[in-house]
Amino acid sequence: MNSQIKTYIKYSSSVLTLVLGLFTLICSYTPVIAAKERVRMKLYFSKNDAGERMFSIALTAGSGKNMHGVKNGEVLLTSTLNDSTINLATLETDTLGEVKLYLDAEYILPMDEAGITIIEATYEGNDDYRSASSDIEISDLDFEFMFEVEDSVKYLKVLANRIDKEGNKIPVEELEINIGIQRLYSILPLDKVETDEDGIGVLEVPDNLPGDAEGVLTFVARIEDHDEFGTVLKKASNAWGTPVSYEVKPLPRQLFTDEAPLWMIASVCIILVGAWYHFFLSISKLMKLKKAA
Amino acid sequence: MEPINISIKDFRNSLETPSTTWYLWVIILTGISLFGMYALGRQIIDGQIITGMRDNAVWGIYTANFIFFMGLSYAGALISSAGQLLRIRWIKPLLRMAELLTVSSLIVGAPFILFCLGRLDRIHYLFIYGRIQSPITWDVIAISTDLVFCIAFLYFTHIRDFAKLRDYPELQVAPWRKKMYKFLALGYKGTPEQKKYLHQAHDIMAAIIIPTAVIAYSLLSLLFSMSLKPGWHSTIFSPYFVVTAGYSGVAILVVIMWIYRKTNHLEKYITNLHFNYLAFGLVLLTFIYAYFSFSEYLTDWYNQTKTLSLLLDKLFDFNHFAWLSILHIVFAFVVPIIVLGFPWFRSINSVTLVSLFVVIALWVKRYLIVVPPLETPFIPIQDIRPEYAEYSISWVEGSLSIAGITLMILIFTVASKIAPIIPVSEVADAHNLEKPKLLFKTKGE
Repeated sequence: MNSQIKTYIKYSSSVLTLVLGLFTLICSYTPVIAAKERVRMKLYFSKNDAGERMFSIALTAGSGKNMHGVKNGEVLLTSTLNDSTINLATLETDTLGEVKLYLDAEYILPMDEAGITIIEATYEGNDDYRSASSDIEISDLDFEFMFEVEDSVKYLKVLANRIDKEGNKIPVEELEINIGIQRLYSILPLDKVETDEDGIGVLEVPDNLPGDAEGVLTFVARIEDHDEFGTVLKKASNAWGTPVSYEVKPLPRQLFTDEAPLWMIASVCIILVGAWYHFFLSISKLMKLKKAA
Repeated sequence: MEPINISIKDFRNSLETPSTTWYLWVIILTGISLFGMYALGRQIIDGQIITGMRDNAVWGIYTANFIFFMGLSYAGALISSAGQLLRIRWIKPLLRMAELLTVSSLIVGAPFILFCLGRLDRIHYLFIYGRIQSPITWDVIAISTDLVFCIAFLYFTHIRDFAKLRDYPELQVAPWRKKMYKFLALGYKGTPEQKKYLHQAHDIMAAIIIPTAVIAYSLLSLLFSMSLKPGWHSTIFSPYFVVTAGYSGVAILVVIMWIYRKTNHLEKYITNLHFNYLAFGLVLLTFIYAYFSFSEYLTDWYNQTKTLSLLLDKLFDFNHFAWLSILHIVFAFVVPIIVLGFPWFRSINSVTLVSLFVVIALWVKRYLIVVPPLETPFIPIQDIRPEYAEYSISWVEGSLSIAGITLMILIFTVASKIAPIIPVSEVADAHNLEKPKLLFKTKGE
């Protein structure tokens, strides 16, 4: 084989390798038509102390470490009553795939005679995500607090009532209610009570609970994510606590105190005096230099 | 080391009446600096809403510039003072550049922290109501002290050259400059007594500038490490800042040397030896800097608290700061070690190019110190709109930053027109240098 052919083979094999390499590289970057991701929807209902209600919707896709929220997803919230569907709102999820709808206490949701509201949230999906929907049936629940003292023992009674369409109060029995005390950042849990046939749950309140300066405690009755009522919270205050004065005492050894620590003043003075002494010493040498001229 | 044959006459061209090109250059630099002043004016009139600083990232590029320029300044002070005190002969031609670097970067850098203030009109409150407990007050005291000391030191090193310029009648300069040289020379005639006093003054200032620079830059680091923020609250910050300052200072000195060597044809005074020695210094500093950086990241990473992990994730996330982090790692660690570590890559141009990369990388590092921790607070703000939570550089901040660089170049340009950029008297006497003075004499000496 002559040298020209050898050179030709060498170069053509190099070019072929290069072309194949580039082809592989391009192929590996070709976007794959991905299947639509399955979407999970969670729909929650909650009611706060002021009677304001909130529907919270979360859209998620993926699983494990790849689980993420479906952002900018359009969710239709509807209510079904007697085979007719009423559109409540169209909502858009945020970057975390969540959206919340707040309703003030005066807003009346469509409900049947028993006071049951059926809410459905629907997400139609798009090119990347499949559709998803979720529904809940909720009834309006209200708590009433009663503070009673018998033989020097303090009892907190919580009455749980379901409200029907006409506004009648129907006691709810066998309902487990969490009782706690509102603290600055969170709720201090006290105990759980279960309502009897009259809808009343009773808790014996300890004597040694620290309150504010006047001994006022704010009791919180709460049920969470209940199948029938969602999350409901109600508060009431009573001076059953031990008065505690929360006078703020100045903290020692802090840089935000009015006066600097002595060691700091001394250190700064020593350093500054030392530095500026040497500065003026060198300036005095210059003065001597000028005099010697 | 062979004595260098140097005379003030060698610099006559660079000192005499400026050329049209020089004037044009100065006009361009002044124009850019004035545009920066206009941007500052807009910021004062319209408020900080026209900057990228918001409730979350309350600091940005201004603070990065502040630390960067302060670092250059302290490094220049350390190099020039150590050169004077230790009687290092080879470094003599570079001393004036290092001193000018110190003063110019202090003048340019210090105001940047003031631009972060929302109420500039209340700046005098710092002096009226300043509390000695506050790291801000420490900084005000340290920087103003350092500025006075460094200007004095710069002047001391000029006295003998001013005397030479005064005694050089052929020099064609404006009469006011002649008068200025006469006034600033303080009647120096080079008598043994005057030499003694000047040496003493020089040594005292050099000795006091070294601790002042170290303390001042350490105090600057306390502005960060005293704050309970992820990535800032670190005991290593003070030495880390000082090492970073030294690293960036040596790198920019190489760049300045290269520019003057090329533009003023100073090959006779700034030789291959200077680049060689400083390249060695750069390699050494690269390893020290890498050691500190590794220690900082390792402890943060090993901590694994939620916010610190989030901060580290952001630093290496391509949607956030990964490109800047990679640029920093490549320019500050990889390139210097590869190019300067192996003899066959080393040349004057390659050393300069690497130095330029190091300067860029260390500015980026300052940006990474300031912005990502502010965008990753322990308690996030309630309104998390991206424009509130994340920092972006506005045209005002960009203009002022560029103006800062041009002002620094302008100071160098004008200063090297007033006196030679090479300290003629120092270099001429370099071979006669006495031994460094003993600080502590022992028995028998």
